[in-house]
Amino acid sequence: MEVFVQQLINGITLGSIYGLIAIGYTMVFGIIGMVNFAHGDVFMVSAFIALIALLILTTWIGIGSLVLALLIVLIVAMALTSLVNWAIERVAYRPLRGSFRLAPLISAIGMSIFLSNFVQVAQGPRNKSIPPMFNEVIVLMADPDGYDVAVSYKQIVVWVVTALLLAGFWFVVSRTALGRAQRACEQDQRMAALLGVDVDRTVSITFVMAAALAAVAGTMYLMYYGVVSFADGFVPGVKAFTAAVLGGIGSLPGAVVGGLLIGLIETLWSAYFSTDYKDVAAFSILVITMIFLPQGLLGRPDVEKV
Amino acid sequence: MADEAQRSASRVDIVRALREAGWTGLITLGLLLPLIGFNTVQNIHNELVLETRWPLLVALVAIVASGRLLWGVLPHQRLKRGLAAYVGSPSKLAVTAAACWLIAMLARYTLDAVAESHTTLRMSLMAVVIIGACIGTVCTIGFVAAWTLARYPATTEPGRIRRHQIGVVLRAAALGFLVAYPMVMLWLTGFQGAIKWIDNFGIQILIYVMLGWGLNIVVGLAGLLDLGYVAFYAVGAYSYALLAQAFGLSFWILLPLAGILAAFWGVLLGFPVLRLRGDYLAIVTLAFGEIIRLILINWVAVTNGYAGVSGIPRPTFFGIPFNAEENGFAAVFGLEFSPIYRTVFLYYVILALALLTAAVTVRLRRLPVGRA
Repeated sequence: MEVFVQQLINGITLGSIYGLIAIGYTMVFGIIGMVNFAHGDVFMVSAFIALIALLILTTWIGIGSLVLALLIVLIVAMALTSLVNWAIERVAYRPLRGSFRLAPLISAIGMSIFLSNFVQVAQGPRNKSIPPMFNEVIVLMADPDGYDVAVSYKQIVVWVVTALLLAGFWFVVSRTALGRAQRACEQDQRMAALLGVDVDRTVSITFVMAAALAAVAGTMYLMYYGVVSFADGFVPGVKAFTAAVLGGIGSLPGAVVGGLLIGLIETLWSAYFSTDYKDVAAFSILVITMIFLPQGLLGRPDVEKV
Repeated sequence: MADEAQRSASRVDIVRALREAGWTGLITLGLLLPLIGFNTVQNIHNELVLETRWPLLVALVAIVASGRLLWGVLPHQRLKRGLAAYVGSPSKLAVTAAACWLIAMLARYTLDAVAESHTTLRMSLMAVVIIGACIGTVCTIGFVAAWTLARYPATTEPGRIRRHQIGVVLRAAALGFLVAYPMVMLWLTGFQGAIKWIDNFGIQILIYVMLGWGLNIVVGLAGLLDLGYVAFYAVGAYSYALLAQAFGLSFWILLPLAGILAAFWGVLLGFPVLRLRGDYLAIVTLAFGEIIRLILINWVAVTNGYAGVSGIPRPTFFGIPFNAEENGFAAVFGLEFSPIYRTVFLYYVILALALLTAAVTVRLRRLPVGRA
């Protein structure tokens, strides 16, 4: 029982990170119908940006308050990662819009390989680790046998930040003119353009928002695990994509639900079966969902577009 | 009027070019500032510390910005027209090609004369050789193409026949080159030097060619983007390795067997997966590829994980092993032993297989399956 509750807590934390990345996939797919394969690597790049910003703040400037440092790191990572994703969209995807359906997908795979190799060359192939932070724990269920169920501060930080950002993001998409333009483009790009929506600009902003959320996920990942390497983009990326598919691609709440589910499945699988095959489990879920439930849990039934 | 409009369109707008170059530089700076400007390294206490690389950052930003500026101020219209005139004229191309080859060769011989210590000079000479040879090759090919086009216009009947004949000759020449390649390399570089050339530049390229042709059947002819295609490559390789190790089966039995096993996997995966369309298919195949890779890595008892399978029996020359012993290939044919024979033999095996793939592909397109 204690193991289960503890894994539940860990799983929700991991799931929040996946959910944040999954929103990026689902938004981009919703608006231009393209699977942005490079999104996992954008997440990895954002973790590196956060790492460098954190090192500047702690070792050079010497900021005492970790909370303040984390806040600044978040903002810097969100801004710079947004710029990266904006540039990627401009260079690698926009020229291919209106090309055949799979062209942007192939371009995105290339971009994914480029990003991870770029980081490998620029920052070296080794794992980058930082000293752990927010390590204090709150014991929820004390166990006389010695297996306490505990929530660490960093898990709480992940939950709070994720919840706040999701709320803000939800507000933007559902209550502002920008969100309305996005939803319009999602339904029918040509009609939206005829009604005065700047489609290019809306798509760019979608990429920027996706990158900002990926940057939050990257910062949380760095803080939670304390280690990042150039190869850390692909697997979380595919898992987040699995989450987006599981929740129903194109559906924003679906992405969050899917992320939490994937996080839970992964931690429970690791706890009760084997850690070696946890990625196999995630990929198998992807395959099974795609084959038997292509519209996902919360998605609309798939309408074949010709 | 029209003339004036054209002139104003082709006139260079310096202010605009400068502004665009400035923006490009700024964006590049933003993109590269964290990842290029800073380097994270571990110090002796195993802590991460930052190093700065300002010169590199400034240099990269400067290159990008000045490139954009150059792009902005170049008279594109006139350049395009000039290039079109150039490409259309075989004589100009021939002269350029000859000049490039001459310069490259001169630089090559100067390089021999320059002492090892002049690193910068040697590097620049090498760059001249490489760039000269590249431009020379492009111009030569361009010359042949332009000459053919000018001599035999496609519109006339004899022209079409001549072009077909040239195509046949070129194809035969390419095939002849492939067949003669290992021999030429042996002759040029000797027994020791040729291994690298035949192995790296021959066998591996042909393996990629075969993979490419196979992928072309799936993606190009069937229109299914299969990102897990290499998984079948892995299945084939592991089938050979494991079966050869476990049962001592020879290369020649396992070659078709590995193919059959990989095809069996293809069918197995194909049934559920092919119900999907477009990008969903791409992702499911990607996931399958990853699953196979992860299983191969994690199932240490069978596959030995990351360390891989070693001690796989080598292919034989139809039963005669390539070794230095009495009954080895070299002894049987009365030659001096050298590992090169195996490499050359494998080259021909893979060449034959690649040609077989090509032939099957071409036939397949004509079958009812191919037309679908």
